Amino acid sequence: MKNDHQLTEYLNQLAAIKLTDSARARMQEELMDYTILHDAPENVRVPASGRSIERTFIWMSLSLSKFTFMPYILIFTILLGGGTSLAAQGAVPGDLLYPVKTEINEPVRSAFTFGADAEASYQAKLITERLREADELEVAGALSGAVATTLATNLRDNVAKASAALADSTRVETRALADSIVRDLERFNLMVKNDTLLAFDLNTFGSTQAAGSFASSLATSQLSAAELRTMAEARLVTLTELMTEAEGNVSAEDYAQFTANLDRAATLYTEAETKAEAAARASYDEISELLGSVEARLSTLGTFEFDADTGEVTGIDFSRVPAASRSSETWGSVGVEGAMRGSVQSDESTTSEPAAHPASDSSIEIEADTNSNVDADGAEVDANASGAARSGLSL
Amino acid sequence: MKQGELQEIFAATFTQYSDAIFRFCMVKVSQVELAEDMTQEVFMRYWQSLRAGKDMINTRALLYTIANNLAKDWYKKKKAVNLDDRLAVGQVPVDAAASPETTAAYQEVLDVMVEMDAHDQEVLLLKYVEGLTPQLIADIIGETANTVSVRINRATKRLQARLHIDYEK
Repeated sequence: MKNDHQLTEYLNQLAAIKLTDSARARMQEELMDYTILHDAPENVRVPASGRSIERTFIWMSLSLSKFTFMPYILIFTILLGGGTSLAAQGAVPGDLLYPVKTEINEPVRSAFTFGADAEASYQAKLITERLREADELEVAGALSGAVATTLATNLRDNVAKASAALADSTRVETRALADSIVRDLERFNLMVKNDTLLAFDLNTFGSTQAAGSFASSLATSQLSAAELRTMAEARLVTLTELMTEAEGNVSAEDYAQFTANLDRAATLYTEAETKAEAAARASYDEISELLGSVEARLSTLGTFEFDADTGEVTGIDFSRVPAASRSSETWGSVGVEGAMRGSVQSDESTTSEPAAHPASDSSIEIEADTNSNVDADGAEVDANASGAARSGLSL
Repeated sequence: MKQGELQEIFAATFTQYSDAIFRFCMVKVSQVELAEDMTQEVFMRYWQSLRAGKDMINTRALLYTIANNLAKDWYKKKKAVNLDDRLAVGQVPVDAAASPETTAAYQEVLDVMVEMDAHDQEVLLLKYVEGLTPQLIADIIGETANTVSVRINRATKRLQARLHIDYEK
């Protein structure tokens, strides 16, 4: 007969019952929307324990705000009472409610994210939202002056937070996230016509290459040389295997470029083993770019096939050329331009990684699309779905 | 902005108690999706309390009370509580960090718990898993601390009896 102590231990096994990450994330999202929809009246009494919360960021951010029309916002919001928070979601810089969106709604939503990965994802979402705002302004011919500066400032803030979160994250998928952020920033630079004050310097992390290294640095800064080596090896092996399939199916020119890149990458890989940490990391960065270019080019020529369980690339089907591919895609661009269809997620925990497809409005509605991506055969999905853009093929 | 302050409190409460409430609901209904829905409902009602300016002396007790009431409503709706239904668990929550052994272990405990009386279940869970004192449990379920202590005692003995039987099988 079990005694009390054993009983406690026995029952304690129930403590292992927890919400799954995906259920928890979904709930947080829905509950957050619920609180916005049913927002509190202005004269509500805040429970006593609430006042002792240290992070009174809302009041702080209001007082530190540099927007000259801010005081009017306060009055406006108080008079309107509830509903303002929700109404602010569609605002763009220049709108009266825009600060409510960026200073109140967004930080509070951020409070719901936990862990560096979720924060990075969330900031990347916000960056896409900034781009959506920029699109709207540009169409109205209003992307200039103070309005553009406001937007650029907010965008900088989001990028800084994303970088910090990515630096703390240890997952391989951060590479895809970093790439998508870089593509958004490139697009922004084009929209502001590379205005030196507003545009982002994608070389800021000290590498001589452009976007590729920035993304690399964002994603890999916290990985050890050994981890980078393992990643490089996996990608190299996968691509080498794909070369046998590619041989008859791509142009001689492409094939030559592929083999050149792979050969160079293989050489660097061998040499890197004996190098010191910093030099090795630089080699792995270069390998990453070389392989990334191959992956990007391949993705415009055929559709990748994935293993439903592991997410690994198992082959490439050259008979199905992605609709959005541009055959004039130049070498040297590391990003995988919306052509990695057939992404397969066999479990339900598909995180909403923003796929920065310039033509689509991919801002907040991503959840709805990713659910439709699950196809165990890896068949190409609906062209409007925003698939997860993975620039690294091995996970 | 009061809205923001309340949202902060709400976020913190969710982070702190969502798993515990989910566990509680799981013991009550043994079905993952239903337990998830109930958990969400609990927090939505909690938010309504916050925005109504309710004084939060004991947030945890409030959450459990709400959960308890929801479970009672659910039981009332289920006319015939078929034991087989209760044992037919939906997909067991897959905690990526948990080993198959852990999952099997708590599944086994759940199976035993499910056969017990609802009152027994809840005091056992609250005492042994959540580690609450009889007084706190009393606040939650609306009984006196004495009643709770007695109930714990009897439930413990009944559980031991069951396990003893299991072992003899």
